[in-house]
Amino acid sequence: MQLIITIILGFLLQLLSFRYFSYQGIGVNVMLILTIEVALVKGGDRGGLFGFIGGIIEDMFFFGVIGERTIIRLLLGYAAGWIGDKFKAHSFLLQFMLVFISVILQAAFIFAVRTLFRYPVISHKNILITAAVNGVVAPLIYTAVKKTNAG
Amino acid sequence: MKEVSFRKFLILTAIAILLLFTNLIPAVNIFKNIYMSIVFPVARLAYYPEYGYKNISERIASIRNIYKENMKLKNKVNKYKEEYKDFELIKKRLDYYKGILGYEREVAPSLMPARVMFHAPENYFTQFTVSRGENDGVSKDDAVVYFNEYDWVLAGRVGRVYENYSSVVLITSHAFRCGARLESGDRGVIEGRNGWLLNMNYISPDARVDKGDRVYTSKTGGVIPGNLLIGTVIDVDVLDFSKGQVAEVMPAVYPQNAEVVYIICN
Repeated sequence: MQLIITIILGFLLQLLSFRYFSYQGIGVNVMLILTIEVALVKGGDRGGLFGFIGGIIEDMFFFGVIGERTIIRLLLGYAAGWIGDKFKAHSFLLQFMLVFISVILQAAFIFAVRTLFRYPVISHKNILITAAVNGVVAPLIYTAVKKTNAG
Repeated sequence: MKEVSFRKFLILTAIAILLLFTNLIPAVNIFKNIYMSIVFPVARLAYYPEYGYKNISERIASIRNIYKENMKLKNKVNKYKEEYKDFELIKKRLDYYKGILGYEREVAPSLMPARVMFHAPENYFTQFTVSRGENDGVSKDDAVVYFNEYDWVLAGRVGRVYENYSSVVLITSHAFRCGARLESGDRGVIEGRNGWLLNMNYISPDARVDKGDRVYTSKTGGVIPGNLLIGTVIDVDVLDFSKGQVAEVMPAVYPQNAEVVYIICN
């Protein structure tokens, strides 16, 4: 139940952030950050499941190949959970790096999948800046997740 | 270290890969297009709620405008329906007058309208008085006709002529007689009975007379023009050979109902 509520709130937050807090394609990908942070806080299983369900919802709600976000979030969730076990999950640098790399990996994966399935691809000229912005926001979301025990 | 279920990971990964490959199935793409056409407006509304609101409020306003326009158009249609009724009436009158003019040109160059001025109850089946007389060129025995939307019908003949009015002997009068013919061409004589029906006498014994046959004036009388409708045969009686057949005729129009008649002046 907590998982579902977190997914719904995260999704709504994502809609708001893209509408009001994005600039020239640079925006905060709340669902992706939540996937990583839930994985860091609650482990790979939970993070992977969060990424899986969140990915399906986003795939159904937005344009694109069905399953593109599902699979990448699932893998990133499990990977983040594994890394979080190995290193200090509460480290801001770790969170920043994880989210930074995740944003780039997600963009690359989606680009590859859409090219494979002959779908229109979106430009990622500001991908590094986007990744950096998301990385900076990540610790805030980690704190919120930790305190509320969300996910 | 938090436990990671490998089985769970494999299952979820398999489902996700399957989902990816469903994009290759054409039916799934069709379903997705239909689905996106429903979902996309909702997503757009979530992204741009103020535009969605504007869109919705514009639609509500346009629904109100459409309703107002609809009411205006309905009122216009009702108004045109009323005007059309008047138009139909005028057209009927016009056709009526056209018919009169047409007859005047074809048959009776001197067709004079006359108003029925006076119709005494005791003379209900025999005569009435019309508003034309000697000063208008009316003569005794002039035919008096009535236009019944489709046909010219014999109403009677002029009896007495005064300066400015005349009496008309009606076809229903016992005193009225005129030459007649059936549709088949067989001739007879029409006679009034002081009632609602007429007799057509002296039809030859070998003539074919059927119920429903129309009866017209014949030209042989000399006074009343031919081809004026008198009525319809409703019954036939075969008398002995010396008298021939007698037909009972119902007049096409009862002159008792006329307000305006026309006098064919010779």
